[in-house]
Amino acid sequence: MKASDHVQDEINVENENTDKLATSKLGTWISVGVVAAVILVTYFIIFGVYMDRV
Amino acid sequence: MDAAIEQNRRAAVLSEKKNKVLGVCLEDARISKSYLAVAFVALLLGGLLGLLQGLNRAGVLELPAWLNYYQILTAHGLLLVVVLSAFFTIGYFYAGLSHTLGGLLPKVRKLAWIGFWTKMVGLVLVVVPVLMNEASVMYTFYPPMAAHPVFYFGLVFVVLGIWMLATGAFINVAHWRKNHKGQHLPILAFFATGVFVLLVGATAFVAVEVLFMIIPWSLGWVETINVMVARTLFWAFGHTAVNIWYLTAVSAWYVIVPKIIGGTRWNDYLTRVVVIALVIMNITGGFHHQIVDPGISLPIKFMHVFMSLAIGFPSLMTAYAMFRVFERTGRRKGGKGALGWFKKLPWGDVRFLSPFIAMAAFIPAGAGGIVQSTNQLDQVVHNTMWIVGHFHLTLGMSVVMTFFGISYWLVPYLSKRVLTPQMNKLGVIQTIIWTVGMVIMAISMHAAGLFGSPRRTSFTTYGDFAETLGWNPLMTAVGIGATLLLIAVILQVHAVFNMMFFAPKGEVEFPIAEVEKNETAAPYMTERWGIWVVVMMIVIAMAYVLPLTDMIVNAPPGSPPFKTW
Repeated sequence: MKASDHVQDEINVENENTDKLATSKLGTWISVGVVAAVILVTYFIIFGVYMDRV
Repeated sequence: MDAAIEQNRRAAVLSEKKNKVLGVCLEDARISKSYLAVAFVALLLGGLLGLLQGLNRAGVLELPAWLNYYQILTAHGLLLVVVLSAFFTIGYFYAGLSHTLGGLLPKVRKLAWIGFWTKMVGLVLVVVPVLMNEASVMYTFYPPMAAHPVFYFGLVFVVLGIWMLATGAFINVAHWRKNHKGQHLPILAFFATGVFVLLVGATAFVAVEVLFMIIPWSLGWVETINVMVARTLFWAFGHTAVNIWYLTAVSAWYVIVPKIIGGTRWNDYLTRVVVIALVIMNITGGFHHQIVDPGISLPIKFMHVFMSLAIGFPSLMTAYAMFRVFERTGRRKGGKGALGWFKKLPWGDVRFLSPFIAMAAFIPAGAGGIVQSTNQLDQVVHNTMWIVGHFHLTLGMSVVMTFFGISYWLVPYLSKRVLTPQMNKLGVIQTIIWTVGMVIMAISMHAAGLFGSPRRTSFTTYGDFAETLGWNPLMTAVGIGATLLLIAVILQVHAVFNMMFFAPKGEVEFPIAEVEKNETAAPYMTERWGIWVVVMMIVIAMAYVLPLTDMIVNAPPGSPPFKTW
């Protein structure tokens, strides 16, 4: 195997790893989860206030 | 003679080509800069009036006898919700249309200038009665409160100006489509099309209200007015107006922010579907502002709760899309782990920091909006300071902070100047001060509202009633927040005019992000604006025909005009 092929292989592996990382959605789902939690918490707090006052 | 005309024509063509090569058409830039200049002058005046209100509600400033609290409340609302937002939106989208569609057509430029001056005339006609304390009817100008007729004539001119600008935008878009058959409209022009469609749709309602109901009534041609119909027509406009400013901010989130952080746009198809959904479902959201109004049947209210909540879906799609862009870009820059990508975002760049905080603010703001759209829960917060806190989060943070972020690249781009590191630093400081001020103010307003403090009420201790004295510390915090906000306003206005006239000369880009290389193109169906407008009208008809017919056929006794201030 020539040295240039070896370098090319390394680049390919790195590209694949980068693509795998870039396609990860873990952080997105955590963030969207925070959005959902804020909506639910707000809703339940106001629902609690409403039930307390009716 | 003919030779001279031909020479002038060639000179004009050459000048236009030169401008295009340099990256910005100077004639188009002048239009956008004029709109932005008016927008930021309105911010300065509106911010100053906001401080006066904040200090009055905090109980530390007694307004002089010649300056009514409701007068400054009216001017504050109109300057910020109508003038700042509308002028900024038009300046920004006209710059976007010019940049992405290869320049504005000469007749569109003419329309833009006629629209500008029509709006300015309207603005003067609106402002004069307000200054004379003849129109302290607040931003919503609800009948039976009646302003001086000139106030309403001013509003007509403002609407006419908006229609001219919308016509100009449609002509430019149609011209581009004619010459680019089968191609997708550039994404920023797609957003602009949606915004101008909504502007026409929304202002049509308020035009009917003002022209056919309020003006004849305020001139004494008819004795009474149907208050419920007027309120309904207003909110079809008022709610949509606020959402138009939101859609403008969303356009920058989808199109500009990914480029600024060094990434690409995520999912062009989803982006276009979000625009279409927001256009179709927006106007029908107006009714939730009247959810506690009497005389509207429960089934109609139920339908409107559903229709208002429907707007939440495209917003949730936007939340997912934005975090996806951030995560993908952050990971490509070496971010590891579940949240390591977050640190890789350019936090020191005001062009990103400001819109990011704007997006983050939309999380609690949107949650509050969902609460308020729910029939029973709205009864807890309706007409309280909670509502004021809500729209300071949505407009004052989500929309306006995005506008601020845009200004740090758009103004230098239009002025052929650069954003210097010092100005960027000032922008970051301004962003932090604005954020702190708005957070203090919005949280205090929400809390005061939950304890029952009413909105649109000048300072009073209610005869030192113990229950209401508990609101005072929260209202003091509102005053502190308002003070910080005015400092941020001064910094922002200084930054805009510095970048417009005094910053070093140079070239900056109009940052429009590309889509991902291997992304499949959105179906061409998304370009069928005729269909989307028809669907929008059908949805509006579903929402409004029955209740409006009911309000007219079974009309309550009309009301004569009242001057309550």
